[in-house]
Amino acid sequence: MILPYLPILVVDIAGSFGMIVFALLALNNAIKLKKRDTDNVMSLYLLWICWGFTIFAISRALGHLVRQLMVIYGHSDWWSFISPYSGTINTVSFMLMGVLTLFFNQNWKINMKILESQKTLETTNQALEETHIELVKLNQTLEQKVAERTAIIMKNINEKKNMAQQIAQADKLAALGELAAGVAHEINNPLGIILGYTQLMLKDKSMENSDFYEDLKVIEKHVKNCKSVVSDMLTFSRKGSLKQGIVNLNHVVDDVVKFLHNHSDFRNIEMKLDLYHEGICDIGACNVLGNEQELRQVVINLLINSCHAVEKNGKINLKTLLTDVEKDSSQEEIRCRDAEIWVEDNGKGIKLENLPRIFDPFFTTKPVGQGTGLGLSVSYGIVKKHGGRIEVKSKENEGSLFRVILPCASNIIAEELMEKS
Amino acid sequence: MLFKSLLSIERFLQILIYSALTILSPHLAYATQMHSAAEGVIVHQIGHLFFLISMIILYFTIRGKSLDSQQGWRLIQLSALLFSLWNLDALIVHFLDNQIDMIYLTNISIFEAQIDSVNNSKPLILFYYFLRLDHLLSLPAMILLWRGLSLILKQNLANQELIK
Ligand SMILES: Nc1ncnc2c1ncn2[C@@H]1O[C@H](COP(=O)(O)OP(=O)(O)OP(=O)(O)O)[C@@H](O)[C@H]1O
Ligand SMILES: [Mg+2]
Repeated sequence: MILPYLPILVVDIAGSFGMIVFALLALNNAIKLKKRDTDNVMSLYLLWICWGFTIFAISRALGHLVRQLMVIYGHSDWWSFISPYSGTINTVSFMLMGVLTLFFNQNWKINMKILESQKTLETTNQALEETHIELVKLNQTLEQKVAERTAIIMKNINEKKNMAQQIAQADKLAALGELAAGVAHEINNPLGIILGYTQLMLKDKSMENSDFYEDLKVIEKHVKNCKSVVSDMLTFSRKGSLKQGIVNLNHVVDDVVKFLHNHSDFRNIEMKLDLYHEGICDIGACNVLGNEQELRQVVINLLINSCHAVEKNGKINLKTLLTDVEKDSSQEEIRCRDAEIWVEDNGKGIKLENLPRIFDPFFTTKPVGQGTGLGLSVSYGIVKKHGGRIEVKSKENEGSLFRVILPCASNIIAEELMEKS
Repeated sequence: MLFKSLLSIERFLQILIYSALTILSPHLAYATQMHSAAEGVIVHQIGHLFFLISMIILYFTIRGKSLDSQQGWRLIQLSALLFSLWNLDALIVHFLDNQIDMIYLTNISIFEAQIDSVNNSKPLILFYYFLRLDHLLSLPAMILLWRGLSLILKQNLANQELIK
């Protein structure tokens, strides 16, 4: 059977040629791949297999080309000489490729295992890193937390210390109060008798011209002094019972100032009055619940102390104010927390070591006969009775500020009380 | 016509089986000639067989490792398939003309060739003729290998860029 030979010839020559070209191209790619991925078993396999293909393509293609050329030039018999060599090389290259491929699977498995362990190592490393970071963070927050807690504890300790001090102070005052009340009570009666007899004797007309008249006057004066001291003591110990009611602090301050203004001691002192917006205060917001007489006593005591403390160019500021004022929609004050009286002077101030003792009964820095040391303790007792407190801020040679803080009688309570009365 | 060609294919298969028996039967082998031509042919044939099997293994290896999700590896897989087909082609050609001498090809000129078969089966001769155009399988296979490698290289470059 005769068939066209040209197709076989063309396909053989062109194919062989193409095989060489593309085998070399593929080999080139495989070499590049291997260079990028030196550690990869897969690229190594691809490189080897490409070498195999190249060798195979060249040996086979050369064989075929030679064979076809022989056919063209009519030397077909030469082919039988070359063919075994070409065939053998081809066979060897096939074998090589087969072996490589069979090993590829195994290599792949090993490669995968290596990659896997690498990955686990990496994740372990990463986890370790993360743990480390977390640890550092925890450490930092721990320090911060310790600092915070320490601050809180310190604050608590300080508060407790202050509280303990205050309690001790209150206890001391209470004990002294009891003592003073007992003494005052025992002394009050004899004093009453002494005063009574003295006054009786003074009433006697025959005594008027006698030498004893002046002496009796001195006795009366000092007994009266004694009585006032005793009554002060009784007030301090809360034994006195006085009428309770609504007291306007503005009125109290105003009265005291008017009363003391004419006193000779206050002549050279500049007094400044700053009352919490007068007028509106009268409605009741500036009111406290208590005894006007007693509160007046407190203000007088504070003013006298300030007066004694200042020298020439003395200045005393008097002030009333409300704290935490709540207002309704029409800007009308409804209620407030505290009403305060401030007595401020630029006098000699209080020494730091004396500061905790100024409220003690009989504590005084004044020379004997001038001060009894009862003024502040009595005032303290009064204010305490009213549910308030006295706060002092003082600096030596600069001045002092006494704040009398009393709970506000809110409008509602004020109204209720007013209705009752 | 169809029936006839079917018949001849049947016959061809018969010949295939007989010749397989021939390869395997020891008393027919040229036992006295240690390195005979037949031995060379058989070595070459086994080489092809080995190559064929390895290409099939490669095909399934790529699939087994789900590498075929990547375009490059898919091309290499296809290349392996074509190479295995080519091996089959070459196996049959060598079997027909070298091993059992069923087919004779004599060049008349560059343009024509005389192809005869022992049994004068026209389908067999035509079958052989087309099998001789084996580069139609091997060249595309090689091109696919090259393309696949190019794509893998490209992806490798892109990956490295991504890491940077
Ligand atoms: N405004 C002030 N400036 C400086 N020191 C003051 C002031 N107020 C009080 N003191 C100090 O506190 C002490 C106690 O005051 P307190 O009013 O209790 O007694 P006193 O004024 O000495 O005597 P009195 O019983 O006559 O009031 C005073 O002796 C004085 O040292
Ligand atoms: Mg005083």
